[in-house]
Amino acid sequence: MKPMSPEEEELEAQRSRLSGYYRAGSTEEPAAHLDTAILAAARREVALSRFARSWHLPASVAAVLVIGVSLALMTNEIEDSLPPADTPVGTAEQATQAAPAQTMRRKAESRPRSERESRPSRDRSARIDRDADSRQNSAAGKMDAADTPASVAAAVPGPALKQLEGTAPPEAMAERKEGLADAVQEKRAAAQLRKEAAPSSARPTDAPEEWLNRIGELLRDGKTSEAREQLAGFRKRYPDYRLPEALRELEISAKPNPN
Amino acid sequence: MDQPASDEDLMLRYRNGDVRAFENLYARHRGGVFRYVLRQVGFRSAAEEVFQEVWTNIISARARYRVEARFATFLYRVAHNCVIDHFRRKPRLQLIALDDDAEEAMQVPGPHEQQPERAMARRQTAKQLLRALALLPEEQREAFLLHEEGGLTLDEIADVTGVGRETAKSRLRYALAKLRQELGGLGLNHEADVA
Repeated sequence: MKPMSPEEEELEAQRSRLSGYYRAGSTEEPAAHLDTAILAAARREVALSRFARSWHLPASVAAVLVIGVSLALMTNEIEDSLPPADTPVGTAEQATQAAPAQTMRRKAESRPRSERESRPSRDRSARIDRDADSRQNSAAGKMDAADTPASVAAAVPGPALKQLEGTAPPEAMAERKEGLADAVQEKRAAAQLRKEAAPSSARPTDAPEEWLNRIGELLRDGKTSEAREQLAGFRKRYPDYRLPEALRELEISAKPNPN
Repeated sequence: MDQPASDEDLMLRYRNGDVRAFENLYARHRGGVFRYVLRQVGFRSAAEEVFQEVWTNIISARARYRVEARFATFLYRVAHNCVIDHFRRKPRLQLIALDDDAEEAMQVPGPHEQQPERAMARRQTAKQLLRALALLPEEQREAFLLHEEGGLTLDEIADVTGVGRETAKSRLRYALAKLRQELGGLGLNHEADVA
């Protein structure tokens, strides 16, 4: 504290003389209800802060957990809703075609990470193959045409390849091409197997009766030559099967006359 | 014998959740702050409103409280600001009424006021002093009250009112001079009576 100057000492002396008079008349006090209200407010403030402090840590931890889990879930959903990196984004048709691929991708992602990481290119080529399969199934009846090497190559979306060529880095491009080549190879092999196992539109899973019924329908529709072809295929698979009368005649008429 | 805890210690203890410390602190300052506010705003009802606001602010500032100055300086700065806010809300009246309680309080004889004549003279002087105080310019009255009720030094008065030390000293000097003049004019300026 600064020492008082003589002027301040004189000031203090004057004040002390008046102070007695002032104190004699200045005795007002706040009302009791004010005291009660203020002290209650003081207690309430302490109680509130204690309560807030006791919940501070658990509430913070809970908030962090909720936010973390929400973010993780949102990130997964966003990843799932995005088209896969190797699927072209463009026309509506391409988007429709990408849907099964996304499903496969989700399934693949549900596998353990180590398994996924050990077989990335196989996954990719399998995905491409399944994609092509889905398109192929939708065009039932054109299987033979689609199984030609040219059409198998065409099953891989050309615009997608072009787009990838334009945007992807060279190593990704090479990997992609390798995957496509594998897919084409596998598709060719599968088509060959199917061709050997079942002639034209006959399905290998058909029961003999169903197959014969279908041949009968072809005959009724006047598609005799097609019925003959089917019957030949049937005989190839079931050489000892006893044919109905009408089809036996067709079989006999189909055989070349030895004379 | 234990020394009583300082205001600052009590406030720090209250900050840490000790409600009893606040009760002690409040008991020390409730009268001074109330009279400071009452003499400034002039009416008991308004004074009660401002007084409650002052302590509510002190309670709210509990968590942020740091000892940077004497607690009294902090308390009266809050009170000063609340009074200013009050006058912003309700414009000042020209006539400042003397609180009824002051007159009532002067009817009660103190321990040294056994002789009726002397007691009567003393009450008259105190009443005249309060009237003179009410008529002082606001800044001079505030300087006197901060010194008298809050026990603030000149530096602290300057700090609370936001002026320089010399300005605060000048205001206090003028206030004392005018009060003495009022009492002297009545022929009651006898230091012996005040003892």
